[in-house]
Amino acid sequence: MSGALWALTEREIKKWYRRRIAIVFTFITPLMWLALFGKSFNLLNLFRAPDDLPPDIVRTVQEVIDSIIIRAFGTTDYFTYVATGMFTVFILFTSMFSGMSLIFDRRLGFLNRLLVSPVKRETIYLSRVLATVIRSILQFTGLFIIAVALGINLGPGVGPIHILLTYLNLALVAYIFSSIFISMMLRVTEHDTAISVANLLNLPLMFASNSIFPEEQMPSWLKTVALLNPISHSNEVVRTLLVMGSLEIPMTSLAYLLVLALVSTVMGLYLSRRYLR
Amino acid sequence: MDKAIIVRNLRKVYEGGVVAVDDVSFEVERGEIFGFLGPNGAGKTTTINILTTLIPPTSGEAYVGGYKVGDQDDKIRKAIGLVPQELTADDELTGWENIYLQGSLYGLSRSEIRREGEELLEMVGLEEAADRLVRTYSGGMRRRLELVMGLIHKPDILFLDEPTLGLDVQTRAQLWNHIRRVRSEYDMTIFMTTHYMDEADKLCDRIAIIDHGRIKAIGTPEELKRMVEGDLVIIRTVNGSPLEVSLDGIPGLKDYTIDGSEIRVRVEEGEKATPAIIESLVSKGYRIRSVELVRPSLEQVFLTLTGRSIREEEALDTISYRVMMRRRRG
Ligand SMILES: Nc1ncnc2c1ncn2[C@@H]1O[C@H](COP(=O)(O)OP(=O)(O)OP(=O)(O)O)[C@@H](O)[C@H]1O
Ligand SMILES: [Mg+2]
Repeated sequence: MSGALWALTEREIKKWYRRRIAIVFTFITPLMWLALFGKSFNLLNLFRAPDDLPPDIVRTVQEVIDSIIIRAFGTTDYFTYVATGMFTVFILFTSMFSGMSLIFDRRLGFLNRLLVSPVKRETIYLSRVLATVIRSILQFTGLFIIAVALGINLGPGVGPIHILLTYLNLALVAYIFSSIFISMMLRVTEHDTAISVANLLNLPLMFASNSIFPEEQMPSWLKTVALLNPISHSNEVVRTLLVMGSLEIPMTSLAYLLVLALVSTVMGLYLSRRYLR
Repeated sequence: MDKAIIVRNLRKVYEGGVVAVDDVSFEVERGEIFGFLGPNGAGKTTTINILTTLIPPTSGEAYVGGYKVGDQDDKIRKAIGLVPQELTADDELTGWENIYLQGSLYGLSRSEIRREGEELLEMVGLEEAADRLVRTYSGGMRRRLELVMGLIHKPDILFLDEPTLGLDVQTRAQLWNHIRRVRSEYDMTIFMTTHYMDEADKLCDRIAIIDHGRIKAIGTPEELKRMVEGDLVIIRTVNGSPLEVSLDGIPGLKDYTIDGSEIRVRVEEGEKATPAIIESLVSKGYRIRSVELVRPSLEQVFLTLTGRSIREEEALDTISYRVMMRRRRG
């Protein structure tokens, strides 16, 4: 019954764009990270060759420093590094609250309307996931424009294909996160629960990834977490596309994300049939 | 199976031990309006929730449209419509958006929904408001929209849970007309709950009176009213149980019962008997707190069956006539 799937998705999207004020607020946190953190903590500027040396030595030293920095960050511009990392984090922040509408629908009795109808329980679940993917992608466009306005340095040769693939990758990430967070909210009746879960997980998930700092410097336990964190893998893909301007997407990262998407789908469909009552 | 609904020994015990439905059995014929009449907490919504596949029963069995609840829920869901007790249309959407969404849950095409929707909206007089956000509707408009949404897929069996709750007398009468029209036009079976006596009396072909999860009586309104004959005079005293009263010679006396400080006297004509009853009470030194006269009505049936009135404030808009008198002796 795909008519029902689309109708339910459309409802979510409509309700979202009718709350324009709320949309503005979703940009505040990522904007702070970009404008305040990304710009003011431009720590890569700290590593400058001393000026009191002969000019050709200054140049050589600076080249060495830059090559070290590029090896770690992939760019000499820290803002670009943080911005490309915040793209995925922004998707996470949006997807974390995707279970909220379900909780409200349960509270207000709207869910019962769906449950007495012949619509499949999986459809109810999938419509929320789909709506979150669409929502996060549209919101991401706003963030991307802000990042460009703030002076993100896209790599040479970044064209429409790179941007398109970035979108697809972020849609995949939105899919993974929303299907996980919606699955967690299938039985929940208190919206406080969703907020607590989101607040508990948002910063740890962001810091335990290579969003604002490369994982090479991390202690080994944190590095392990960062390597399992889908945000890190998405960042690898995004930075390959937008910073390096390359289409050679790291296959392990992509495969990891695809496997997560598959696992979360199977889990979500199973749980929605079981717990959506 | 030609019955619309069959319920056998249905029981629902909620977590925490509340017995909401206790050994309930009844049958609903195809094409009839069957009413569940009972006070708050009687178990009406619980019964509807079981029959509409929302919650599983603790024990017993139920068939809706010939399908077994719990085993063939998908088939039941296709055959039924529910207008729930709470207003659950999405108030951030417009009337039409709600209707489209509802129709698409039942696999209807956009053009089918538009055609049906227009007809139903016109019937309930909501065409003008249908493009407005539901948030801007009055309670009565929302109830009517709920009805349209419950009918959009023309279910065989429609469940109405307190469809006129909180509406004024006029709007309720209008809604009854809509319900009657729907039944005759679409040839539907309607299962409804209410705690309004007059609603059950005027609208339902048959009524089950339910209290504390148990069915006290089932029948047509006339059959039920025949269970009680004559008027009921209820008098409460200020100073104790009127056990010493003698009611010999009261005109048209049938019988009486005393319950605490309350005496209930069944007589042929209430107006004629009341003064004599009061006199005989006063002559034995009882001081009177209140006098109440109840006509043969579902209210009285309910009172007789359960020993209490359905709800004080609801009794006021029933067909029974009620006199409250306070007397103080200096
Ligand atoms: N989810 C629940 N958990 C526990 N007890 C419940 C639950 N739902 C209802 N009850 C209890 O079951 C009893 C019957 O409730 P129900 O809602 O079926 O009554 P009702 O006849 O519809 O009343 P009303 O006229 O107020 O709508 C009540 O005592 C109520 O407190
Ligand atoms: Mg109820």
